[in-house]
Amino acid sequence: MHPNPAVEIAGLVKRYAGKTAVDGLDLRIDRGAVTAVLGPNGAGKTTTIETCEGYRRPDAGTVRVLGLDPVRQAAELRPRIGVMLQAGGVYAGARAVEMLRHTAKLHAHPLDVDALVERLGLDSCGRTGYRRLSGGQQQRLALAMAVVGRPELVFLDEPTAGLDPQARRATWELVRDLRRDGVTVVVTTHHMEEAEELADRVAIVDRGKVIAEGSPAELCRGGAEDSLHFEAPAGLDLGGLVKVLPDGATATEPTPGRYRVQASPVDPQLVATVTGWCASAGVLAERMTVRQRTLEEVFLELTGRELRS
Amino acid sequence: MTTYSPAPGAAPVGRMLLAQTAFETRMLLRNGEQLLLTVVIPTVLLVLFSAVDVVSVTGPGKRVDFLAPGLLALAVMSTAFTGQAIATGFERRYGVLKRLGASPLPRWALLTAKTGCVLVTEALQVALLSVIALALGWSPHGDPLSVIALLILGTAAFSGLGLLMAGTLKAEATLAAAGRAGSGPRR
Repeated sequence: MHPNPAVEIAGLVKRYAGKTAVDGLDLRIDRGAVTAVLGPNGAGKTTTIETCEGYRRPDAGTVRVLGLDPVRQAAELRPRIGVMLQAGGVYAGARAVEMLRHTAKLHAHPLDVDALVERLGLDSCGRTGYRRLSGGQQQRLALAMAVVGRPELVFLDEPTAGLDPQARRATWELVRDLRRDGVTVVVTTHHMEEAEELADRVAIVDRGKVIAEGSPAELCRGGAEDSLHFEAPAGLDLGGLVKVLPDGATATEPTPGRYRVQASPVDPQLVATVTGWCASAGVLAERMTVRQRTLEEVFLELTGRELRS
Repeated sequence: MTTYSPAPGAAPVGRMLLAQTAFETRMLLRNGEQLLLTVVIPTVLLVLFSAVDVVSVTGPGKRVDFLAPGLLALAVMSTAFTGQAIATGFERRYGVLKRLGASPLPRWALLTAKTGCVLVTEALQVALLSVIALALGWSPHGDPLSVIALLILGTAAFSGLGLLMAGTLKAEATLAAAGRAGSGPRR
């Protein structure tokens, strides 16, 4: 892993008119990965990202992006980052491709505009004015403007909000290609699916703080137990099974013929133990499934609230 | 296959300035309201008031000799103040200024580009209005250098006011106030 993180935030505090939007947030984002900053609306995601982009000055704490102070060293930082705002950013009278071509001209080694236009399916709206584009087309144009300058680090603020599933997949594919080619990507989202699908690392933000951090798998594994389910003839004596299970694991029959084994973690060894016990008891286990928690459940557990309120 | 491998960097500042000036000018000349303000209104006023006796004209010479310099000044004001204030107010409103703030374009370069856009537009206006005024029989007198100096000073003063207004008021308020002060279109 690169010794210098792409983003390093320590003790960030930001208040607006007495209301605390970010409340002592710490976050380290490694280079070359896709990091999702996940949280409900109003959690402080956008404020945090906009502080990294140099739009806002921290009230307390420090923010370093590519080792630079985003406010004091803005001139040095800005050519190196790509920014996709949540909305807007385009001249009202501009046409889509014209705007992208202009953005490319501000950079030293921009991407090929035509290829990018085709890639994002913007070729059909080349001469259409910005205000006549659909919401999805506006989003994709903003994404294209963020990456056209070949940045090292890209900040995408809710890049797929309001997109249909197909356009969302196209955006995800582009993000994966960016990672493949060594671009660091920071995405804010309140879509669990997006974080699970896309991110190498997830930072869950709530009420202005990072309350959990890790890979999606780590976050889903940690804390509460996973479970393994199977079906078999009703009324098996589970005492023998519990004896061979690891300490702390439980086996129950919530409804006749359906069994649940809870353990932390549910790993290959546990599955082997359960099937081994079934074999020795001469029982054919059917419909065996392992269920891990989703990030949605993790979030609910951490905050006691639904992500989308 | 496209590679997205990082190759960041700002374009040379001269190229950025040229690109931004050309882009801003294109946006301005494409906007119908702006054209009304910068071209149609001064032209109509010049032709109308030269032909019809509705404003009292003082001084020697023809009506157009009195009207042409004033309408040149009006054209400068409408571009530097009204046009600039309205365009920039809406750029602020639509997040254009915010997005440019994250681009490699430095703030001074954006302001320079805006000035360049105003000067290009004014050159077009002065050329157009002068040709029309001459066709109407205008016989200009005075020192061309001091005219240019006055045009530039006027541009600087009214651009400054326009940007101040665009930067502090809401877009709609800018539109109303700048429109009223600069005799621009009322929407």
